[in-house]
Amino acid sequence: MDYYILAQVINGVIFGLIYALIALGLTVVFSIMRVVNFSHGEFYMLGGYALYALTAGAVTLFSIPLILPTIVGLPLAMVAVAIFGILVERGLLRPVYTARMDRPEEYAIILTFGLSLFLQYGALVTVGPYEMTPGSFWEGSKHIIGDLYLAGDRLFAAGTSVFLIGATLFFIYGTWTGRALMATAQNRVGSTIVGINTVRMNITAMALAGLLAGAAGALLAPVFLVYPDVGQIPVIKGFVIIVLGGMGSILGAVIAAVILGLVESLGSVYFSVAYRDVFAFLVLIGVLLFRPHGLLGQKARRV
Amino acid sequence: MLSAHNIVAGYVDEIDILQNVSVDVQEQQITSVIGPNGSGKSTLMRVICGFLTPKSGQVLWDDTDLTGRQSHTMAGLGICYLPQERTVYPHLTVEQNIYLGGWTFRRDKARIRHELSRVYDLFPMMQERRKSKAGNLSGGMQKILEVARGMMIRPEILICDEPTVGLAPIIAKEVYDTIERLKADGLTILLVDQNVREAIRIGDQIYVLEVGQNKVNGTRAEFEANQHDMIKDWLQI
Repeated sequence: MDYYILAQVINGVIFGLIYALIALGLTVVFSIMRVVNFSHGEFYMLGGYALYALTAGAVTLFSIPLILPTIVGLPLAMVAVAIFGILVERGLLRPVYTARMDRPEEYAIILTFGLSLFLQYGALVTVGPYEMTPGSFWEGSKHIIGDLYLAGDRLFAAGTSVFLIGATLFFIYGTWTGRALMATAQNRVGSTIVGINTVRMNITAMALAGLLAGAAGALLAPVFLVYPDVGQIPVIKGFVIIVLGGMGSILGAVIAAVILGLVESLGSVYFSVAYRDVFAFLVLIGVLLFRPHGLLGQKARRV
Repeated sequence: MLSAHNIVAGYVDEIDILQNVSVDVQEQQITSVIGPNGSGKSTLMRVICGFLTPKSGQVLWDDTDLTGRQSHTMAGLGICYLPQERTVYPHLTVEQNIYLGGWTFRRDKARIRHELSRVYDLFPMMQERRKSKAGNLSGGMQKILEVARGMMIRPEILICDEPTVGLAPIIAKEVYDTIERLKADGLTILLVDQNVREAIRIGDQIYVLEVGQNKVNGTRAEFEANQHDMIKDWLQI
């Protein structure tokens, strides 16, 4: 097999894994809170900026420039975005499910869309339109086999993504809190009556989304740089993936993400790299024509 | 044991669905609340179980004031509420559904196992179907699964809102049999129903609501005599 093609396949899988991190957060928040978080791409952006702020020495704390190792900066950046997610939930999204609001879904859409713009332009004003690059996680190219070399940062991103996806799946399917999340997604009243605090489940969902989106943003920051609207394209891919995988299906989202990464990567090789972002939608249209509920989605059940 | 005093409640400011309703539930009895559509039966249950804060009035659980208490804390007090709508988790298995009934004591693994086998003893048909998705069960089976899940906490009271609505009569009978069996085991039950005949047949105390007010209440014996007139009165014939 041509090493060039093999490299593209591996790259596709790596992007797929990163997309999966983004899509998992979107789908968990949507399932639990019924909120489509249009500002999720900015969570991703904030992950990149947080890593930059913590590791590049551009920020000073008590007049000492912050130059943490990137490997330490990554979990800190994730936690920072998770805290931001919790603040958004507490401060902005709460009226959706507590107050008696006439149109909570529309409120949530307008709110998260506005927040997305606010954060993009906020970043533009405060740090400027420049592309910033935090230090590497794993420097240089790594020799894999034959003529195949891959950037250390990409390999690190892939490995970390696999770990985080595995941890998320374990959390959701293997712990009481995870099962309570699933229960809340499937029947909110049914969860409340067994004693699950569904408000706390909302917080958990937003924190998880923040952790994963922050991780994705930070992992790709050394590869693709960070700038104010860096999250726009990835979040659209995230939306495509959760529809493709079947709304609310966690495993479906992971599978769809890897498929999308592969299609983009190979499409760029065999057709044209200019159409890279178009492939996502071609795949989406193709799948929805034959499976309207997505790859692993549940058919809508109406009583 | 459980009582609601002079409840006034509604979903919007101008309209009071409940206009001064009181209900008193006696221990180890079935208390039936009946009344025509729109009389406020379900709203009363929502108030008692913390899903709706009353504008005035008080809900008492022994000596604890439950008024306006958050709904998710009720299970921890031994109150099991089954609203009218379906509350199973459709994509989880029967066993996972029942497991989650033990959420309030989830850290006690031994107790979870113990209660699970006790619930299976009470509801053998749930054990047979433990691997099925709850959403694939029939409507009646889903209702019984809800009851089974609720029994995980060994509740002191079961509050059941129209458990048989939309079920075929033969399946409804199974649900009523389950409720009577639980009462025989010493459970206190507050039942809301539109099925007047059944509610009076299994109820020890009966309350009739009409347009958000107590119309009449009494024991089964008192009601069985007047049932015919009462139904005639509702149908206005």
